[in-house]
This record gives sequence, structure tokens and C-alpha cells, in this order.
Amino acid sequence: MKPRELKPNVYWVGAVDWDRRLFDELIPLPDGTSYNAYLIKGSEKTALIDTVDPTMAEELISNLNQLDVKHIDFMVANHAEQDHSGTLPRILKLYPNATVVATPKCKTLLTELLLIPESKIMAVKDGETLSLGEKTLEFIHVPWVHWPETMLTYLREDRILFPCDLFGSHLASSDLYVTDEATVHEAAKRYYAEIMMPFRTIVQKNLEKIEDLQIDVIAPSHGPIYDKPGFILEAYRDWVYASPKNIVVLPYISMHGSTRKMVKHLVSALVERGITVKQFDLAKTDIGKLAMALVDAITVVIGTPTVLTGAHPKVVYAVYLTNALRPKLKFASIIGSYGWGAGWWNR
Amino acid sequence: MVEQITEMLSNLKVQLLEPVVIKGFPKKEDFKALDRLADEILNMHKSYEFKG
Repeated sequence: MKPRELKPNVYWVGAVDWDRRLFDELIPLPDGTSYNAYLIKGSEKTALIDTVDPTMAEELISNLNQLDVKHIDFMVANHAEQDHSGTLPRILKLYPNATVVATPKCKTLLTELLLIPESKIMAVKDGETLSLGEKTLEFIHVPWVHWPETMLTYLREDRILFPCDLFGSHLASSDLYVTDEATVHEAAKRYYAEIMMPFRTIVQKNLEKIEDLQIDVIAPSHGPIYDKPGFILEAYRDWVYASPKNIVVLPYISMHGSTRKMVKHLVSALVERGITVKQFDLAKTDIGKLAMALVDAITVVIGTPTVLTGAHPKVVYAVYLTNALRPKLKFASIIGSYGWGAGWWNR
Repeated sequence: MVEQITEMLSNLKVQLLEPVVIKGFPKKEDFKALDRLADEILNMHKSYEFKG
């Protein structure tokens, strides 16, 4: 896809990855993703905000060529993860005079993960600014969204926030901006559930940190850009702050039908009592859907038969993920059926 | 196995509600136990809402 102008002299120069279906060899990507990089041409200096996954480096380079970018002064690395910083070494070769701008922690990670020489990286403090001429970048440290080194970049004059992964969505789209809020809401919730939810209390602090910023546009590193930022900010407030809702999530496995029969009965009983239930057959389910359901739920009921004296391995996997994602759950229970060896249930 | 699963939920501050573990295909008394679990879940949700 060609470069696209957000505001005068501010361009999207990233890559849309329509075909990717798995991230971190773990997270399903039903709708692909994008790696958003942005070029800002100031009256005196030019800055690149983040890069793209190395598999799509040619797209970024082609976009820079199409904009006839002869010189880059600063390459802002909001996040050291390779889907955003992985093309930095190639861009540094093409623009050898560029300086990478990052938090001190990110500087360390970039030297370790990408072998970028320390001398090429300028560490910036929280709140520090960088003038590009008539445009000014402000760097806001927001550690743990979702790595320890993360920061946001705010373009003051155009009131654009570049938050990297925060507010992102894995959604490949030909639209630069959000055009279908329902679709983006689902993708952004999936992204929050899988990536940000384990750091929910830290996300709260970081939302407070940007509360007073005047933001016209949120330009994340994945998915469409928010030209009505209230939409995603309000969604995040709900996911992060709101009390858990009257919802039971019920992930289960049934090998011969007994546990399934129990699940069916319990689901009916809960629905009769006015409780919303989200049931997931772990033999088939997309774990992203399960993660999304956990964002709002107050109770999880795990359904499992015994396999070789323990819980079914697919249940173990789902329970491990549930624990790692740290949702707002308050109550848990377990249901299941065994064929023999009752003693194992008590261990 | 209950212990196996609850130990794996150690990051979460959840209250464990009485599990329903049965042998073989569910029978009448097993369905009653599931109804009791549904009642307990309802009560817990209500108590949480009252506290909140």
C-alpha cells in the first residue's frame, strides 16, 4: 500500500499484513494485522515513528522512496519488540546519519535484541521534547504496555498521539481510519485481552497520564487509526476500570459426552437465573475469543474430564492462559466427569 | 485434579465455589448438584453487586 497523508507532512508509511494468521506463534490473527510506521517532515528535521515487521521491510522502504525521503534525522522506537523495531537496522543502513530515539530501557533492549550500536541511540527522559522545526515531538514514558521499555510519542502541533501497541488492533484494512467501529471494537478488544490485560493496573496509570493531552488523532502501531479517539479511549476505560459483569465464562472439554451434558445443564440453569454465559469448547475454540470473554466476566467455570490422572491438556492450556491474562474474575468453579480413578480428583 | 487447576489460577484472587465432580454420565442427583452450583453463582454475583 502506498504512503498516505494524515495531516500536512505527516504520513502513514507502514505495511498491511493481510495474510498473517498467527502472532508470536501463539495468538490467532483472524483478520491479519498491520505494522504502522509514520513519517513526520518538520521544517528542519525528519522523523520516522517506529518501523515494520522485518518480513515487510520492503514495503516501508518503498514508501519512503515514494515520498522521496533523502534524509532521516530521528527514528523513534516507541517499543523494542521486533514487529516495530525489527526493520531499524535496515533503515539505519539506508539512512546512516539517523539517530534512534528511545527510552533508556529501550536503548538497552535495542542493543541486545537487534545489535544496534549504543552510539546510534539517544535515550530520552519522560516528558522530553524534540524539535523538528515547526513540529515538536514529546515523549511520554509508559512502561509495561506491554513491555518494560514502552513509550508514547505525541506530536504537539497536530495533536496526534503515537502510542505504539497501546490502543492497537490486529486488523488488516485498506481504510486508513476507523470506518466500522463495531469491527474495530472487536479487534481492539481482542488485542487488549491478549496483550494489555495482564498489565491492567498499569494501563490504568498510563491512561491517567495522558488524560490531559489534547488528542485529535490516535495513530497506533497495529490496525486502523482513530480520528475520533473518544471511541477507543472510552472502550479502554470500560475494559480497564469497569466492575466485572454478570457473566460466566465456561471453557470445557468433553471426550465422551458426560462433561458436555453437565455443561449443557449448567448453562441452562445459569441462563434461567438471568446470568449471561459464554461457553467455549476448547477442542475447537479460538483462544482470542476466550480471552475477550474474560475481559468482562466475574466467574469462570472450568469443565474437564480426567486424562491420565490429570485435567485434559487442552484445559490445562486454557487455565494457564487465563491465569496469565489476569482478568477481573472473582469466582471460579470446576465441573467434570471421570470414568475411573476417583482419587485423582482430590489431588 | 481440583488442586491442579486451582494452583494454576494463583495469579487470580478468585473464590472457589464447590466443584461438581461426578462418575460417568450425569444422573438426577448430579443435575441437582449443578443446579446448586448455579444458585451459588447467582448468590455470589448478587453479593458482589451489593458490595460494589
